[in-house]
Amino acid sequence: MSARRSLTHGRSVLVVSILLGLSPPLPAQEPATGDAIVVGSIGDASRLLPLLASDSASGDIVGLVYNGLVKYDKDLNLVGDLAERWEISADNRTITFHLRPGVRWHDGAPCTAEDVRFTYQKLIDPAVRTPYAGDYELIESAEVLDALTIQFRYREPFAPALESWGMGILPKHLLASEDLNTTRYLRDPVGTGPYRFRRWRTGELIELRAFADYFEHRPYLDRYLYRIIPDQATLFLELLVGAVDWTGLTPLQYSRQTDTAYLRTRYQKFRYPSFGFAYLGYNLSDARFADVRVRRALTLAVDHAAIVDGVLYGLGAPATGPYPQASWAYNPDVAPATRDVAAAKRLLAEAGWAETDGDGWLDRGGEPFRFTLITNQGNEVRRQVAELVQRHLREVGVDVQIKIMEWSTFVHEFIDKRRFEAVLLGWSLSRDPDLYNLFHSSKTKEGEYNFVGYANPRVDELLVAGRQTFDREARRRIYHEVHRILAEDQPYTFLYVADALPMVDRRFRNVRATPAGIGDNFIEWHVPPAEQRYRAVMER
Amino acid sequence: MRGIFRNRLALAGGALLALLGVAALAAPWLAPYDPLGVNLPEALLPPSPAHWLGTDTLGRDVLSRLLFGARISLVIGFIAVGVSMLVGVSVGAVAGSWGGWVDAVLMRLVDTLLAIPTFFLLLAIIAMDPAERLLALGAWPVVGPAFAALFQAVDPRLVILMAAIGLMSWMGVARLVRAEILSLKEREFVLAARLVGASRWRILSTHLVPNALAPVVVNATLGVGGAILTESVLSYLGLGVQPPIPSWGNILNEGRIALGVAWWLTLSPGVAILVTVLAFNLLGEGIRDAIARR
Amino acid sequence: MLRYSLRRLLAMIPVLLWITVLSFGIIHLAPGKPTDVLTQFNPKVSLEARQRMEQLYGLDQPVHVQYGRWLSRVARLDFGRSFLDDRPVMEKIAERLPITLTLNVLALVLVFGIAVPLGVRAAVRPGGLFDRVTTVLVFLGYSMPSFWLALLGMALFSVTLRWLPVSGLHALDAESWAWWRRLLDMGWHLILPLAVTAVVSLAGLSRYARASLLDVLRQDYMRTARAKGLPQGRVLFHHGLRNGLLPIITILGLSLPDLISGSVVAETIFSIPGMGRLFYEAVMARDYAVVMALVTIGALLTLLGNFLADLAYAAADPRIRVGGAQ
Repeated sequence: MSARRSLTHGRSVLVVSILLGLSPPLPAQEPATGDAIVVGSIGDASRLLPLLASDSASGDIVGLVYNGLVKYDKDLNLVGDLAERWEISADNRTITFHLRPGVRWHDGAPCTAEDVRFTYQKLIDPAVRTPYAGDYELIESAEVLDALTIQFRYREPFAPALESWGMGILPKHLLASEDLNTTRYLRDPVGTGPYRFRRWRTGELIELRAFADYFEHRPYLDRYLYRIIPDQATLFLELLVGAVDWTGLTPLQYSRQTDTAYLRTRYQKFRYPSFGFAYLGYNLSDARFADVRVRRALTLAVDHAAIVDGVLYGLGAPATGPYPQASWAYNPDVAPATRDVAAAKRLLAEAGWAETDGDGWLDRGGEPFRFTLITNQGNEVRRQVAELVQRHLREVGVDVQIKIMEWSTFVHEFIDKRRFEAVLLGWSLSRDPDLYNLFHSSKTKEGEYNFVGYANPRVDELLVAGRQTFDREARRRIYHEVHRILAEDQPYTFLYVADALPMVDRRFRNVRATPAGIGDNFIEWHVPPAEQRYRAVMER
Repeated sequence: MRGIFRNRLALAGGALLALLGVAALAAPWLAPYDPLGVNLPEALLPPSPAHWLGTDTLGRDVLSRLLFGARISLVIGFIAVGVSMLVGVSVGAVAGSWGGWVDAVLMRLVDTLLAIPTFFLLLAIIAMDPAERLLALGAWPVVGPAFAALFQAVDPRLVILMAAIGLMSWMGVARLVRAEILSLKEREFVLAARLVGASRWRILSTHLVPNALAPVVVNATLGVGGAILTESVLSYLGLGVQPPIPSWGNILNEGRIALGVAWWLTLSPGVAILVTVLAFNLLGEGIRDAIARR
Repeated sequence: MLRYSLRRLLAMIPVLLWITVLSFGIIHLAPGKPTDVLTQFNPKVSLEARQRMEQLYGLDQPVHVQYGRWLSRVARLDFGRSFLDDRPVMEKIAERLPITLTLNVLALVLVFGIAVPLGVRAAVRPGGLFDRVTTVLVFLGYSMPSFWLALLGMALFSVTLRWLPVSGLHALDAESWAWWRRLLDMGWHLILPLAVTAVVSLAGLSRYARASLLDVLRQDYMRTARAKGLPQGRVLFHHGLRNGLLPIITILGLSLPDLISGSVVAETIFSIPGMGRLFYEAVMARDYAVVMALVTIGALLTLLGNFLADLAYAAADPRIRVGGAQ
């Protein structure tokens, strides 16, 4: 929700399945309805159809207007959303979903298994410009058993399959004859979610209204107003005058700027680890970085704690691998890297790097140890991290040059074409621990994501096994081993997992942080009548 | 009365700029700290005797960064204007003195470029980061090695930035010079030179260009201030000088993010830009008046 | 006059074509493709999906083929669809144009309304107190980076004093208000952006007005008029202003393209969804269709503005008509 700052870059990766969900416990007394919540966002949405929404703003809206078959609950377990329950066959290749009866679209039509099949057909339709087709390509057949039952058969077992059905389900009765790429429903969505679309003033405001017939219960807050405020400083000033109720803060704002009496009494701050991590990636086809001792040495030389303290103001945790601590895939036995300059120097010396010519930089065969660290511009935190890494490595005699470039150039000219030595980047991940695309040795073609060129047969094996295993315990063991090997191999120096830092007006009740964040129980949020700020607006 | 006042303002502007120039040149000796010296425990300190202008989000001394930033900002101003003058005066002089189809072709080019929104040109050039492409010309004789050498010496992005700001504004200069030369051509001293058989090139270089330069000088003075402002606006969009190199524009922009907790981060670079651009303008106005009275 | 106009209009066509070729070339030379924004760096997006999308958008064709297609569509007044949200480009422009036009027309009126009288008043007694004070003041405004001035304005008037809204265009409840109240509300929101725009751009015009009036005041016929013993005020208004302000009217003609091109900086900082932001976002996202449409329309208006300005001059000064200017 809100102006989420993505780890990858300004336009965040959307992971549909993690969006707002709802939790059942009902309070003793029915809370009051009414009021509105104003959410501040840096970016505007672009397309309000789950299949085509690829930025975080579109994801925020789509998450309230649509439902998937499943969703994550507050403890990050997959639970039913539109699906009441599901069965997975013994060979792990068939999933049968049983839909909740009585669910209605915002226009009143019933939601059925035909809608689910329609959504699937559109997901794999080559004419639809969806970036999410990959997760559904393994599906062999989709069969509607009855109005509320649908069965998907997979060519091979695919563990992330269940999570992939967090994808919002589309209304067949409205979209069957539409071209999804250009349909008017991209800007006037009709879903089954707790909020129905009201209006969208491009670049300015998106308004949603509570859906009275929502299948769980009517959400208490009448209106959801998504304000687009592209400048971070302006957004902060809007907070100072109380014009925004909910937004994400930068670490600097969270720790230093929000400590005034007014903001403390007015807003409640939250923090919880985000799903994703920042890392220093090495081009492993570079002879220097191909040596694992060098990579380990660089990791030892980087002061993880100083980065977390200095740049994130302590609002994050040093990363030991690709998973945040909240994930069940996180291996607690992997020790966090602690800085050890002497050990780093020793490892570098073993690899043949020594200071012989008195210029202060390590050298080997007359070549000084010098590399260029590239990153994208427009990300203040990342820029500061680059400057700290430069300083830390200087102390072991490694000369780092920083090059910051515009996103498009960065990706096309350098990452895709492997024209880099080291790169500072981040990944936002889905809740499923599958890392096939990032670390499998087959994913090294131009434009694919194992651009560091990591290849470890054991990891390849584990990543494939992890995708085909459904049992949580067995998967846990697999990913714990992946985590351990990655920490040993250090294809990346894993830097940190940053915290998400939302701030919400105190008049909203029932707001609480869970491992899933703060939005999962959004329909339970309410404001006591005496504190409501925005009058009810007549529905026209 | 009027002359004295004008001169006084212009003089004040000039003196201020001279002072600034000296400070920029002497930055390594004047700056109390390393402008790139990250010192996290001292981040965001308000102004104090130890740090006259406070420290930024990474604990770097703002005064030192401003002093070094002055170098970058002034250099950007001068080089950008230099580029614009060089191209503008050459094109204008050639078009004005040759006339005929040369004039027609050049002026058509000027028209074309003037009709493309300048901001688009600037954004497009900077956003596409052409340094890499220019370096790819390595195989070309002269051009390739020249770019390679230049980019070895100076951050390519800085070169591109200065060139882009300059290339955005040469068209006006070209028109100005051409018009000036067209009118000078009919003046007695030029006609006389032609009568005694001076070559076209000689007339151009000794009579036409030097006399056409007066209004250009005013234009140039104002242009330096304009370029400094342009860099600061580009920094706002994240397209200006890239960190860690400090420029006034990016110091101001980095301060924007800490607005509300560290007022000193935006105040000092803002005032620095304000005063400098103002000084260039007053100086330019003074020169303009001096010329007008001549 | 008619033949001259016709010739000038025809001469615009090749220039316009050149501009489109140049712009198309520049933006296609830039690394990156519009599909990047949709797909890049999302671990859920496979390489095949990415290539498929590029094909769907026709980006796998050579540049000249893409240009040819673009040109043939534009000839039919179809600027295509945005890559970012698949909406017709003209629809996106139409949506942004009203607010940008409103803002710019108001700003133009404000700037002319303040700058010209300032310049004229300063020219009456050059070097006098008024001249001195305004000189320094207008330059002070010009010398401030606009985003800094905007932030200072917001911090003072919106946060500290709470007189004005921080940013945006409408109050959140404005939708349900009567039209006059909505209008007032929007005016309320526009005060700060307008003030910042005006302060920053006063210098140029007021100096121009001052200089051109001074020029006229130095002319022989002014001296004659004064020598005849006509009162100072009458000389100034009758002869001075009329002739001195002619070039300013030309400037007004040249401002035509500025009317539709918004300012990215002001729009970003004040959260105003205008043409400037549209353009900036399109360039950064390599949204070719939007960029090309904006450049083409901008160029067309610039050329038209030049043409109108020349016509105005020609009407005022017959010598130019005969000479045929340029």
